[in-house]
Amino acid sequence: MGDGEVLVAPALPDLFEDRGRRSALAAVLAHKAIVIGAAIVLVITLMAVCAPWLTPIDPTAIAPLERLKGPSLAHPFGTDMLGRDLFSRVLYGARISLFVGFVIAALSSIIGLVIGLVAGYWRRLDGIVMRLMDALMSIPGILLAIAFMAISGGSMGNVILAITIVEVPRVARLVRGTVLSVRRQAYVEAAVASGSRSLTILLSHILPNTIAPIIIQATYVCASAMLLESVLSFIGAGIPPSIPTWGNIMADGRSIWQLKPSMIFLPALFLSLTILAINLVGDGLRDLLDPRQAGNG
Amino acid sequence: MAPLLSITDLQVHFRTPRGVSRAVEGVSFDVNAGETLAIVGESGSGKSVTSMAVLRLLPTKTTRVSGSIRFEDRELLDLSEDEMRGIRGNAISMIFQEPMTALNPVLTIGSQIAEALMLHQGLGKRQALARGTEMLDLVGIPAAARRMSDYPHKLSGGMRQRVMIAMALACEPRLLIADEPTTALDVSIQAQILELMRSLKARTGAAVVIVTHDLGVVAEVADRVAVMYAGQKIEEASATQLFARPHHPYTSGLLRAMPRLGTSLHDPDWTLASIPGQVPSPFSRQEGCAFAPRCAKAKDVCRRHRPALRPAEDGHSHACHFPDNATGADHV
Repeated sequence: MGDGEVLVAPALPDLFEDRGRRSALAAVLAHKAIVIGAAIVLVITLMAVCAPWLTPIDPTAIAPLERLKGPSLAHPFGTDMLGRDLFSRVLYGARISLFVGFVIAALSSIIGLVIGLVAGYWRRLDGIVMRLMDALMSIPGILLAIAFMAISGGSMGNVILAITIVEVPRVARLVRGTVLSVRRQAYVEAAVASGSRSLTILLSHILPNTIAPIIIQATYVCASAMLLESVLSFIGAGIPPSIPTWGNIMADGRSIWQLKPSMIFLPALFLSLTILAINLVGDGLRDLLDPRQAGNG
Repeated sequence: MAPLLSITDLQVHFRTPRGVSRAVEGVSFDVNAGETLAIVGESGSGKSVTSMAVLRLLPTKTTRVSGSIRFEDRELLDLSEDEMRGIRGNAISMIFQEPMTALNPVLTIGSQIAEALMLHQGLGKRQALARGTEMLDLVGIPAAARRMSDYPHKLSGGMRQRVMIAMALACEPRLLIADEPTTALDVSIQAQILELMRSLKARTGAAVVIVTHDLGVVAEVADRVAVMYAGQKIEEASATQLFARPHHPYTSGLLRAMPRLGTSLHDPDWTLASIPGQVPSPFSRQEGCAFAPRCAKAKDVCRRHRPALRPAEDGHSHACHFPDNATGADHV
């Protein structure tokens, strides 16, 4: 602090009044990370959905004469060792990755929510349920998924199931933690004092408090599920190699990566970009939904 | 007429890892319809536990409650959990100390008020919301209709306590238990809230049990006062009697410990007194009067024999061997 320097408190912006008046949508749109992340996810989703119109070439059509071609107008990303068009394979691969990611995020959120609510509210079940969740979490996710795939065999449904099993405990722990902290709040006691039943309190007072953390967690689950799916496909323990997925394309490219590195890099680029975008959305939502920032006005 | 609420020999013991905590030991009092009873005491005197016990809000696993709590000729301690739920928030409702945390931050004010109305009065959602708006209006919340769709974080502490009062009174309870309703509020807001409670009480005719450590609040609202110390009721009197002629040395001490306007700190005849020592631990039960270790008048008999609660004049009662200001009390 220099001599004679006068400390003047900066004028406090009237954040809360402002926040209160704005609609939720406006608040979301004002958040750069969410907007950028959501835009990227949206573009990739549109590309996946519109794949048949964006490329006329069947991603599984083999054309031996067109093997390992470089980028051209007909094949923007070139072709692989069987002459399949990489651009359409990457587009159709996005369908699988996004579908798997979103379905797993939804499934593990719902299952994790139910398990977490039950464990957090009915303490008698807590010990058993949460030790089971701990046991699942103590096994590295990728190993657990590989083990499940080894038993059940490769198919998309099994991949979704395998990764859901990996992700559910994380959601369940989060929900249980939230329930445990919320159930000690004065407003839960007040609800008991006003004659509400346990189930009503659980569903109408505690459940709404878990939604924000679950939405945030769901974005991370989605990103991690997409990565895990790619890894499973890459090592051949995931979706059958006949179906183009980003992991499968990379697996095909592994043996010829010195010859055609783009077969690894392009799907990897899309995968990284998608995961980055989803994480951006998740981080943004976390900032936005954080009760310490939204509440206590 | 039988009293609205009649508590007889209430005992509440908590089982804790440190042993058994005897929070309430044999407390009895009556609350008549339309009356305001204040339960006064320091932290740890058992006053809040007593009020929680009435609504059976204490954790069932670790708590032993015995004695009798009769409300409108029904023994609350014998009711099933279902029957008890029908009473909570309906015939007896409660206002909590912390208005900042007693409202759910993720639910609108409206849905929280409507909850009890739909539960107990069988109202539909729309009727319950309309009635809720009326209640907010009644407790003096401006723009009540708009506030119904607001979330609690937009309201100040005083406004939230008004909402809590609106929720508590929505089902027109016969008894309102207010546990330190003004402690967390600014002094200027405290007066407003007390005034609000008084006018609503006059309007609805509900009996009020107000739990507080603040004698200023007692003077403001109470008809009758029960003073608690270490889990026992040591004195009960009408508010005017208690302030004018306290019998128990503890009550006298409390009154002397209350600063008054108009007395100068430099006045040699007056000092703001404090009561030496602390409330005894609820884990160890001692012989004799619980207040004896802190009492200037304590004699041997106080440390050996616990004084029974005995009636004095005009419904005044006290548990002391050597009461202050008492006329015709039998000295031991």
